[in-house]
Amino acid sequence: MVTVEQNIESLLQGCLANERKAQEGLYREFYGFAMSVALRYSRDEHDAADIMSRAFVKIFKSLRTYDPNKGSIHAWIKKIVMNEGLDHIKSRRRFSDNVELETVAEPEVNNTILQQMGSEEIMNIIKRLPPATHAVFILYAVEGYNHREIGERLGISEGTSKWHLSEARKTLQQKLEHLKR
Amino acid sequence: MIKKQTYEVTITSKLEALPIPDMADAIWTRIEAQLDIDLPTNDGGGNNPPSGPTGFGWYGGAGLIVIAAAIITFLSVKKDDQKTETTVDKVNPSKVDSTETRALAPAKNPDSKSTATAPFDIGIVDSSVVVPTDSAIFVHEPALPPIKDSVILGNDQPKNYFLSKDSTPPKKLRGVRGITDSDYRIVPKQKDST
Repeated sequence: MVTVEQNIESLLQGCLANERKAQEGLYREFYGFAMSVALRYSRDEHDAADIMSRAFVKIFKSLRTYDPNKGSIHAWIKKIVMNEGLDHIKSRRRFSDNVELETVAEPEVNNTILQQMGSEEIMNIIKRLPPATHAVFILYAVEGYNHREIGERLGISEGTSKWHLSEARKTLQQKLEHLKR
Repeated sequence: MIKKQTYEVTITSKLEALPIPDMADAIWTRIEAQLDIDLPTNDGGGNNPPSGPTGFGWYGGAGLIVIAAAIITFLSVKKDDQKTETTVDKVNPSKVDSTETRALAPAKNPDSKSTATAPFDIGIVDSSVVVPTDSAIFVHEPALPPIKDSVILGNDQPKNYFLSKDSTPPKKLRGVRGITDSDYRIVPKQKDST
């Protein structure tokens, strides 16, 4: 009986040997996982497909740099897909450093309404955020990065990151209040 | 890592439950096309771009060109040699010995006999060699083949240094102008009959 880990290990070896079948196998093994990450950084399915294709080409080309001692293959693939997603958002709009905040306003977001909403409805609200605000919100609220890390990743200051998060929360609160009525 | 608020935990769990669009095949087609360009496989896949000439292809082609060039050069040189010898013999078979040999070494050994290599030695004749105007060269000047009619040497004809006015310095006139050799001739004017 071949376990999932053994199967992935075998696929990785095949990918290192540049075997197309193994590459397809690895792609299909991680398709759902990677697509769920790509969708967070995209406006629609077509954007997500762009992110996925670029990310997997990069994965296969740089697979030799993957070190199992530093983390799981899941974390490595997620990082690459996420970086591609951020590049995609950056390409849509330049990140401005003109706005900064010392502290982030924390408006009350109605969790009860959120729980009643479907995942697609929530994603639609997030997708309508401006690209930079979208990226900061996902990185902070979903991925769990702090403002310093977000600033480094996006090339903006911590204050700007805080401003974008504050804007995202305000928008989210307004949308949820609108739905409540 | 930050400590997530309650609503953030809810959003994260909702996003993880997002339905995944069924685009795996379409996306793989794009990935495969890109991989065929960036990472072509060695299994001769149908989408692989044709590879360029390798190994023997490059070296063999270059070697053939070099060999062909060498053969052509060798044959043309050989042909030229044969034509030159033939033409010299045809044009002036008797003068080769006398005229050109004397032209090559007029000072050292003017009486030496020439050989068949004489026409090729013309090219290395030093233009600084001064030949007296009364030498045999000028005596036999008409015997030299005309340069423009030569079909043997083509554009690489050696200059006829001995006939060229530019190559030899003009001979300095000696004696008094207006007086020729005949003026020094002693001729008996009239026989004394008495």
